Amino acid sequence: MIPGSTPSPATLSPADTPPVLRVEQLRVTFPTADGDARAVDGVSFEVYNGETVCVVGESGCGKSVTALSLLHLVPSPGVIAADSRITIAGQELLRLPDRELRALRGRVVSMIFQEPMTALNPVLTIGDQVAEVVRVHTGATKRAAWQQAVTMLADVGIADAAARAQQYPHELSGGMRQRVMIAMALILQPRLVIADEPTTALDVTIQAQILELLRARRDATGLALLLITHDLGVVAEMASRVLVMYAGEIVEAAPVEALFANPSHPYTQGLLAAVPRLDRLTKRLQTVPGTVPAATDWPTGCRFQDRCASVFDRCRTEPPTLRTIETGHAVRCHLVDEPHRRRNAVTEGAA
Amino acid sequence: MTDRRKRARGRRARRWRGPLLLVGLLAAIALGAPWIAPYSPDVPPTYATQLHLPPSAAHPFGTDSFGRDVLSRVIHGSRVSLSLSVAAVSLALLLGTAYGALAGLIGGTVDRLLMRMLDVALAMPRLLLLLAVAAFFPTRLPLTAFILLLGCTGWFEVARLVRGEVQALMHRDFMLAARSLGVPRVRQLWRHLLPHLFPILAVTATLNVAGTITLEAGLSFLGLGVQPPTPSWGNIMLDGADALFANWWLTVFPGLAIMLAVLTCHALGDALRDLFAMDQLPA
Repeated sequence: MIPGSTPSPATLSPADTPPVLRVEQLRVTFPTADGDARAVDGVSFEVYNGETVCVVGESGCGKSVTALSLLHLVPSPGVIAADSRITIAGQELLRLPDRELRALRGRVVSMIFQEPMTALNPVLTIGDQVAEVVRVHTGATKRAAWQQAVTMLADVGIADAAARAQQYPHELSGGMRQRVMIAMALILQPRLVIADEPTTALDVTIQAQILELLRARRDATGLALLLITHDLGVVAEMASRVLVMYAGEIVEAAPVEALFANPSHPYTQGLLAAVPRLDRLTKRLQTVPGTVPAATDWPTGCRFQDRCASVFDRCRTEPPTLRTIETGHAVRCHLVDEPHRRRNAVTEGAA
Repeated sequence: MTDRRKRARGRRARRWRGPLLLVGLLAAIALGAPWIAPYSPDVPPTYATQLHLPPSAAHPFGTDSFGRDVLSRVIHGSRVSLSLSVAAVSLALLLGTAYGALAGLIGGTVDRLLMRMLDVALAMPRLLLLLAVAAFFPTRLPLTAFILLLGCTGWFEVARLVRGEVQALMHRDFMLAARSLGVPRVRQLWRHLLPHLFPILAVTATLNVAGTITLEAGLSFLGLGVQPPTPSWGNIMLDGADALFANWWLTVFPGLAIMLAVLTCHALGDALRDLFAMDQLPA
């Protein structure tokens, strides 16, 4: 495919405003009995004010570990490499002392978790949990914090918020709980919100409502949203830009229109082809054959080689680098140099 | 509320009634001892010649070698035996929770070190430890010292339990969420962790009280626990030890009191366990 066939959309913020989030060479390793598992291996990207960046990829590709790194909450025994840099709103996250790190969490950057039932504390009322964020970060009195929490709960669409605030998580529906999580994450108007599969645990109708809520809050406050998902429907609906991760690396980064119009990494093409569609009748759903290799033992050369239809000798020896093929669109694949080698990218599952 | 939940709550209430009633009864006896007991526990009645009387209408549990009323001594003994056990267990829970929570929260090398030290402590038989310390006391062991001794040797299991629980809790999503929102460590512990420890602590407490009641009785029976003339169930039994068959009422009645108290504690512990297990069922 010829690079540059679609014009780059103007979703990228101008270079003169500094990004809210800048990640440089993020590397996270987990020591295991079989050697170090390099869960995230040299990931760099930026997120600007008011934009939504989606991170997609299948389970085990490192997207959740990336998300937790952005709060410096990588679960032990995971270790972030010393030369990794994460800059949030001008502050170098990985060099911050504990106290300042705590002040940053919840106030400048916050996170929405996948499963609100387990992420809310079952023994505290939801009002207490939302108010706690205020109390911990501001000098607000108990009463003022509670009042603020009730207002926020109403803002995220919880009817009769004053009464609901007195209830415990188990008394709420799944969608309500996720609204509470969002209220907790957004109450102090953070600049960056990380949402790790925020709708995966919810019914489809509720999913749409939650996405709508996130979009409304983003547009109202100008926060930057980093959305981790494996649902390309969510990507199409929410993203300004997309990062496709595979085996701990970014394999393709592009504005959302460019990604859907011109997916250039064989893995991205596989992901897009795997989405079931009503207008395309096939006997079987298409899949990307094989699974992600073990993080302790990435293959030499391209990490996608064993699952790629277009693999050729160079892929076995030389790891591809991330190459820009058009403005804002980068791909980690040797096919960029040798496009004639591209073969029917996706095999039909029924073949 | 659905019918199913109503019924569950009804069943739960019934399971509770027995143990709670018994606990209330024991507490009332212990608290009201001076008013309930027909005679003084220390001073024999004026007709002091009536030693070793078998149970009768005037003395339902008989009298002892000093002519003291055994029923009154058992009633007053409940005060000592029960309050001592509760105090010792409270101390043990406090120490064990602090130690276990610390190990679980800090983790890593500190945790490993603290746990190995605990293993060493657990390897020593508690009874022998108590006997050794009690024997060291040149004079007779004061009551408060005895309580401290029981408390300071009773927290090892609690610490191990709490540490395991804290470690499991630290991996729960809501703890990660609390950290992601910048909640300070101390607040995490007090507000987010401690309430979750309550069920396990409550059950442990009841079972430990039962254990401590028998331990106290055993030590006092050996003459190393509560010192006469202060009555405790253990040392009342000691009074009758040299004439077990002739003066059976001196050992049987305090023995029954111990049994009743221990069974009550266990029943309460079981009821608590059921209660908490039921609460964890999906609504």
